[in-house]
Amino acid sequence: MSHFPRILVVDDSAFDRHLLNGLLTAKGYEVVMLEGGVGVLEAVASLRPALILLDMVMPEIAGTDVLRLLRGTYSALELPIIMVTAQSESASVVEALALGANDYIVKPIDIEVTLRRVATHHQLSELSRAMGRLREVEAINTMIATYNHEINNPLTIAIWNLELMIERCGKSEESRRVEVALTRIADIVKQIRKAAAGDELQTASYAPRTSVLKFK
Amino acid sequence: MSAVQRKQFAQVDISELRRFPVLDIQAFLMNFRGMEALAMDVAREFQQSLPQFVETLRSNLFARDYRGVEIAAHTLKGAVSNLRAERSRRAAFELEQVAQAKDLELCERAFQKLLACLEELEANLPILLGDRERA
Repeated sequence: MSHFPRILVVDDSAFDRHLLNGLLTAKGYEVVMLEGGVGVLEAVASLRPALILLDMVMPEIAGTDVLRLLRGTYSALELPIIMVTAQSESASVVEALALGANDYIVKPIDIEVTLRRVATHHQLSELSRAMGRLREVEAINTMIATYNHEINNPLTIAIWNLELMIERCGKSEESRRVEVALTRIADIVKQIRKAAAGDELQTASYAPRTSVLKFK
Repeated sequence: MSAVQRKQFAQVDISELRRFPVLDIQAFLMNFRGMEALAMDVAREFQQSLPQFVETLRSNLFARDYRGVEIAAHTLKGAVSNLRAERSRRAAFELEQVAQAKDLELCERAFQKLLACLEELEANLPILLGDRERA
């Protein structure tokens, strides 16, 4: 979990940006700001904020339209969005929550409430990510157990038959190569079993959205 | 010179807004408890931003850009509400609402009321800033 999560403030009011920036910076957050919703998707892709504070009423694109754009790409768990609204905008708040806003804060901004909501939604998002990772590890363990079982049986048969072949026909270069390959497979299976039992799985990136397990 | 620069000839009645505080210094400071330096910074930022707020409203009104007036009044409403300046917030809200009706006369009247409230607010800001800085 990052100690200094990055918060993106999207607000057309320089004064409100100044206030939110001062407030969040004082509490250790890294703050980046946009004056409006134009280019928000590109900004999010490059800045990768942990959370967004999004003003509801802005001149060029309304906050709800910005929200709609963002939710087309990022789920509420991936990117928490807190709407910043005025007291008189309850209908818009309902619309924003229906569109996937995680929460809202009302102007005048209550500092304690704002900081608590930002912290809570950031923590929820981090927990969700951690749970995702746990589910991934669990899935890998299940897969390993299955593969171990499925590989071990034919492997045992292959080794046993190789030994029979050597007994009958004697050792050859071909049988030596098969023996080396089967021994390597057996060794990998042992390593996987050991690593899975001890939670020592190490992965490396292989391709986009694909990882491979690392072995000695 | 005042940043607000209200039209002197305009007769503006803000008597119905008098029951709301110009600036609730205690509520403003209470919100920032433990962060007094930030509170002063925010108050100074508002003081410096006020002429721009007013100019944006004035130019939008002059151009009869009612949507612009509505948005600018809304933005100012948010700023003064964060200062706990309820009288100005109410006046900004009224301007925001009448701008939706696209009635120039109503907008000008609401704008003058807002300017009167902002003049009072501007006059009270040094009390907030001065008191805290002396402390």
